[in-house]
Amino acid sequence: MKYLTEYRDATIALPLIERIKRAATRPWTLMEVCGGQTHTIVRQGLDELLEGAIEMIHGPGCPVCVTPLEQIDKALMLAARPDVIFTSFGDMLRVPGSDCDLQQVRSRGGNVRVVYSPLDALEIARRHPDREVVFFAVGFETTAPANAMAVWRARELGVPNFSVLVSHVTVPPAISAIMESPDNRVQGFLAAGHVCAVMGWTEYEPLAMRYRVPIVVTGFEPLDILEGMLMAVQQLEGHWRDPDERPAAPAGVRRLRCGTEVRTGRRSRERIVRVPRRRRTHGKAQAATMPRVRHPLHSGAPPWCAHGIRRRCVRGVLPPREIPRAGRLHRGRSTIVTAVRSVTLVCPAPLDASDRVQLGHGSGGKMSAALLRERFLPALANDVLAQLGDGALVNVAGVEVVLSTDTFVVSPLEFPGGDIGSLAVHGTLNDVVMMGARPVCLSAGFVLEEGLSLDILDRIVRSMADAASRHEGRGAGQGRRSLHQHHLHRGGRRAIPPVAGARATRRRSDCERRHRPTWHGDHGCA
Amino acid sequence: MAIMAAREGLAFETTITSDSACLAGLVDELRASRVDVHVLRDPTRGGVASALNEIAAASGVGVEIDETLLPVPDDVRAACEVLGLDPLYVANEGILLAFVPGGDAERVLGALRSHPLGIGALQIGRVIPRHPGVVALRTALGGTRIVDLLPGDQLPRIC
Repeated sequence: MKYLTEYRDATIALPLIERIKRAATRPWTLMEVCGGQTHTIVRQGLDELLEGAIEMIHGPGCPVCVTPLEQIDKALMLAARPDVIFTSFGDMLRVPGSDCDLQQVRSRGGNVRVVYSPLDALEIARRHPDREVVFFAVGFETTAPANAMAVWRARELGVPNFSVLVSHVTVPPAISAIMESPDNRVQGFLAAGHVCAVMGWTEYEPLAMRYRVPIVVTGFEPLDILEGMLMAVQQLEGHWRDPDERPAAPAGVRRLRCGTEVRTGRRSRERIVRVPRRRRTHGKAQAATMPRVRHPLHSGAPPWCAHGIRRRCVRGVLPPREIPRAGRLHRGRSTIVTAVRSVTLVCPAPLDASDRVQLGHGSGGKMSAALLRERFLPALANDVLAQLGDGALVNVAGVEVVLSTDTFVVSPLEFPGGDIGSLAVHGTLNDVVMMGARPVCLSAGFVLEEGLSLDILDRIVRSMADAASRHEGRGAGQGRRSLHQHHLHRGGRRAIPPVAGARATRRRSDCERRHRPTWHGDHGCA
Repeated sequence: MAIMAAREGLAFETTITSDSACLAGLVDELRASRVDVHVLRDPTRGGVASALNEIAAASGVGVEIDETLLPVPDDVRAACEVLGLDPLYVANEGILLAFVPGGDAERVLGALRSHPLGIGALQIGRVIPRHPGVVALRTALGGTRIVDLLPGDQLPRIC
């Protein structure tokens, strides 16, 4: 696959960073509009590398963050209906509404599915004619054409049970809102290339003129963003005066081939996706009016986020490092805008509270740790458990024994490189081995779903026997939570004295190193 | 990625194969080297990032890893790029992480590489006296970022 590394080339990026630092005679404050740009900046540590020259304020560019609360609540209501299959991009699943989020609706029995494209949602509608399939059409300008295409295609194919819940917003009003805010600190913008590929960049010229700010359209790779930062700084420093020096840019796609028109409504802040009249009579595929992006009132705040902290941050009022202190609404998770430059979180402010087990509890992340800490440890506490190792080291009549149990749930049952059986054997053996012990024996429990093919069962059991016999006398198991339909349970005890020193204990070391013996990421459950 | 590709029916040009394997032989090599291994961990759900975070938190140490040293195969990297996933959080089943005294690093690498499963063994980082409990990654451009625990499953980044 090409272009994974070319636009991340350090031999080009590092000189660019130096040029930016030399060009800036004083610190400048820029805002990148799109979440994809933010992701790259934080992921590569670009803001840290440019400290002193540029302060980046992370903009409201993730449609997740700017989707109005009322639209989320509508989505939640639809998703909870038994006759509905609610489809959405994965980004939206943890966005909190007034009461819960889509992930929680799913765990309570709602039919919520992650799709990668609105056309996938349409396909689901075709396969389930007895259900109403709703696609959550969020996004800025970039996702609008694909969503419109799905609507058009639904009409063309005569799919009556497909509809979209629309929540599109556009970038220019967001920029205006930021610039008109009384406590704004943003001096220039990095606009999003994919938005401009759809809309062109002519909408940004009036904004640049009105607010006297450079707006540079960039891509999403580190070199794109660095180049954009350099161009913005050059403009701010007054070095780029000749308008003919501007690179040619595409005019954008104003009319899509399918006949769906994206145009500005009479009210200047409104965008309407309207399917031409003559097509409206077919089927029930609908496009709805896009919600307005409201300008902030001086006494109020933009409806970009249910939580005031995020709003203040995107206007540049609240520096990112203040968020953890300000953040009773940000409890439990870091956000992409914290000063510690973590990229791991979904905006907006996440709320962890739920009275149900969720899929995320099985992920091995913070939810898993919290579940263990809050639900299991208090009742089951003991010294051995407290070590939270991969296995339990116990002393039985003077012999040190490592005990491990695990549970495996996998879909599909068979996959390239293995199956649930070999996975269970390897996984359980490895837990014991990680404790420095030599596996001696293995016990296995099976939960077989009614209807399972006996041929598949035979193959899996044989695979387990092969995996175990390759490593004679090895095995064991200790429990772990997994959430799916099919699963094997392996439990067992084995006694092997660990070699002194090779134990998974907590030890401090001034200079330790880490080694990885093989390739990384091959296995990969999502 | 092998499981995700199989489950979702993602037809990549190359078939990603699971790394599922038993690590007992590798650990035997480590044992034979007589190095004072401090911690062994097989990163499964949550990937390398989660395992490192657990160790850093439990031991109260800071960990720094180098992005350029992470051995992510091309097909896995490409699949992750397409799907918006970070390889650091993708599950493994035939991988071993070992924390060893700095001075013994070369000896440990030699021991691991003598086993078929350990041919690709490398040092990917070190324990540092700063930011205890936090795992930091040095990017290819020389910046640093925190590699935090995810709250739940990794959701693919679409935009």
